Amino acid sequence: MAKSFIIKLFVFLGLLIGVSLALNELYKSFLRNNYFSYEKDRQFRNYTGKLEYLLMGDSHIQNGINPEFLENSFNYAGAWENYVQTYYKLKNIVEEQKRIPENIILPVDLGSFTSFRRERFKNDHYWVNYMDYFEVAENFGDRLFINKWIIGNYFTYAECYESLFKYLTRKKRENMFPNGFKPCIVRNTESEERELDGERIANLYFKNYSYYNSDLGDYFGKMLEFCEQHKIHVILIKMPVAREYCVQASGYFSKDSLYNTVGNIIEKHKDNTTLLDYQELFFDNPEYMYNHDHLNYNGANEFTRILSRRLKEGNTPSPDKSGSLPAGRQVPRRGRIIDCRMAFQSRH
Amino acid sequence: MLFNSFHFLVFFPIVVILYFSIPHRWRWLLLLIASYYFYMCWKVEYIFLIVGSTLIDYYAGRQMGKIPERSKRKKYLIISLIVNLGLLFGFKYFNFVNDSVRDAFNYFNIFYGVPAFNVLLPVGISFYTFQTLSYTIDIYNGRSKPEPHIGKFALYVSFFPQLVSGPIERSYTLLPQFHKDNRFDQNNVTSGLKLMMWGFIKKVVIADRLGIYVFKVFSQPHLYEGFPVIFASIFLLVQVYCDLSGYSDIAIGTARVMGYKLMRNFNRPFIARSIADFWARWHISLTTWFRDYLYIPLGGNRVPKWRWHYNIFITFLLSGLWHGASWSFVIWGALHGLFQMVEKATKKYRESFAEFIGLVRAPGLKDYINIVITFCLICFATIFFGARSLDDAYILILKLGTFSDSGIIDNFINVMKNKEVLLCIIFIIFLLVIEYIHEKYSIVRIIGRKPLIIRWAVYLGAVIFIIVFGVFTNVEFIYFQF
Repeated sequence: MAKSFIIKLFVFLGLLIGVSLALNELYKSFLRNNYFSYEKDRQFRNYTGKLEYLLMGDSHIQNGINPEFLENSFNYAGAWENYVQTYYKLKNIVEEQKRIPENIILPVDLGSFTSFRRERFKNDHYWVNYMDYFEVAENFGDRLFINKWIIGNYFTYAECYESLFKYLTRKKRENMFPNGFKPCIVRNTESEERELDGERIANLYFKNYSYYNSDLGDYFGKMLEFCEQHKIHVILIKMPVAREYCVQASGYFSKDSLYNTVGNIIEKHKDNTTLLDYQELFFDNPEYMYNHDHLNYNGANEFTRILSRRLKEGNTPSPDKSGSLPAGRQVPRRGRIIDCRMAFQSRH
Repeated sequence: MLFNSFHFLVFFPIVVILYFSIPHRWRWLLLLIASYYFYMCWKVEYIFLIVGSTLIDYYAGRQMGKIPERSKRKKYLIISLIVNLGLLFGFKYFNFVNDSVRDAFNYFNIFYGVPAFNVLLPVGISFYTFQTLSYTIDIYNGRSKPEPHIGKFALYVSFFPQLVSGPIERSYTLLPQFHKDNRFDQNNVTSGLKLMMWGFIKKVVIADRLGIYVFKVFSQPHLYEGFPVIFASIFLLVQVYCDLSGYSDIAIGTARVMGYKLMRNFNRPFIARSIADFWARWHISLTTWFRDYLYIPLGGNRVPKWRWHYNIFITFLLSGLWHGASWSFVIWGALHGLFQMVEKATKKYRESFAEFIGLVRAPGLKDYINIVITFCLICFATIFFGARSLDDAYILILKLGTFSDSGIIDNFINVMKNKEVLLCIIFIIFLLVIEYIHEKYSIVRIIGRKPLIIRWAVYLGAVIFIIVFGVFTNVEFIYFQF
């Protein structure tokens, strides 16, 4: 009786594994045609232009910088991407794809190092193509990453009902903009709604989480080191945010503490790093903001024009509020931006 | 090690295969090693706490077993109480008491310099200390005999299916099972696996899904009002139920596969017709523990009425404290105590009122009304269970009855437009329907009578359902924090 039961059990398990693998392949194939990041991968592979600026990081960059106004650039940033993910993606681009950008643009925003981000590793089906989960598990001392590797490879359809529902019910497929850009729509929001919005996201990032997670800081440092080794100049940008969000975030932690800690990491690679602070740029221009910390389409275009002028001409008068490059400092039109030490301090 | 992890999916079959492969006399050792390994996956150092508690209680039990007079056994019982409650106090309650005393001193501007004890709460400490305490108390009372085999006693303390979140077993039900030679029984294995599957559905699909919305509202209570708060409170209650009963089902199923019988821990608590009935159906192992080792020794109901109410109140107050070291848990427990006191004090009047309005002629309707009222009271109390602080609980209670300028109907429509809320409601209905059908007709028996291909299709479908609809982010069982 035990023998026949065990045989039946093995047959059932075999069937279960077979069905699971089939569902896994089916869903992976579905994702490759629908998940935005795969489409961006295809765009990047087909991008044959000069890679003077490679934009990486999270949705602040993805939605906030339009390559149309920044010559020879590709926007390879992705929503919710953290420094760990960006590091491995960059490693893949340089070491596997053998494509070395001259400059890389990364965000260093208020929420870039929060432990909320550290706990948010999603879309493992995509990131297994880039991240070394076992290395991350060892570095973090967190075996959960091994689970995530298993899910990303063999159980991509886990928790899939939400994304499946989203993709199947969307009215039309989002159009890809050139060079990886993904804009946010323009919408008008009342000041009260913006305040509530700012409060909501500040609570989400900071209320129950530390503003600085050392794991993310370590990978941020690894990224700077990697860029230095491969002679990729790093341009760090504090992206424009809404005033309300900034005020709410200040209630949770001291921005000077955050930026001092991050500044210490940057200090080790100061010769290869440029810092640009545009955080307050659109404080009085809510029409450029999609929400508390993302630019809308108009805002992205305007910001990119400002950034582009700054990077390419360098010596323009500053109607914008960026301040790291002192007025009058010469910046070469092409090639490496002159390092600008410091001034990574809060202006509030 | 979580039950809902790949680690456990590898660990469990290995343990089961080895269990049925080795002779009966060595099985206790295999299970003990497996249980210690299971516990050390959380934090290696804390195994010394369990081992220490085991040795002390084994010694105390053995010594008490040698003494026929009850009064002379007291000192060993006291040793056991001091060690177990001391561990519990040190790791779980010291900081709570310390902070409360500090607040009181600060209020009177008196300096208070005792520092906090910064240490991680050992997982399951409330469960295994209560389990070992029941052993020594039962020996003291002459209800059971001491276990001579130290290895089997250690296994009783640390048995991995129920180590970290119950059910809290009594020595006279669990210990004798470790002496039995459990042969491979196909019925036990299949029914155990089915129970585990149902436990995973409750935990991974329902509880963790509800938890997402609950977290959203309870972590930022001032941003929500009206129906979002009402729904979040209901979802929280169902989440706690599915989390704990799901874990219990997995624990019971795991043990059953190996031939061990653990006690039923839940019995459809949402159809309770009174608060007392609710506690007879909810976390039964804990309720009966408090009844046997606190309520009855205090006198139970064989005392004057005022003392009876006092006993009920104290029992539930301490039950609340057992759940968590914070004032919101104390208030949660106190509320349940208060509800029961009022329930018992007003029973006569409520029955007269029911008779007066003619409800006696419609017993079904009377039951439904009782169920709804009981559910509402439990939901209300659960706000304290889930709130992060007393301030948050206060805000949530205020927001329960607050509706935006647009009014009640628009507030309701807005929350129902939320796909997350709709999905949670569907899952709750699914849960209630399945439990109802199972209670009435036994789903397991119905499926068991179908042809093999239908049965396998159902089991396959259930597993795929868990994977597709489950939540696999790093979500622990709620009761691990106890």
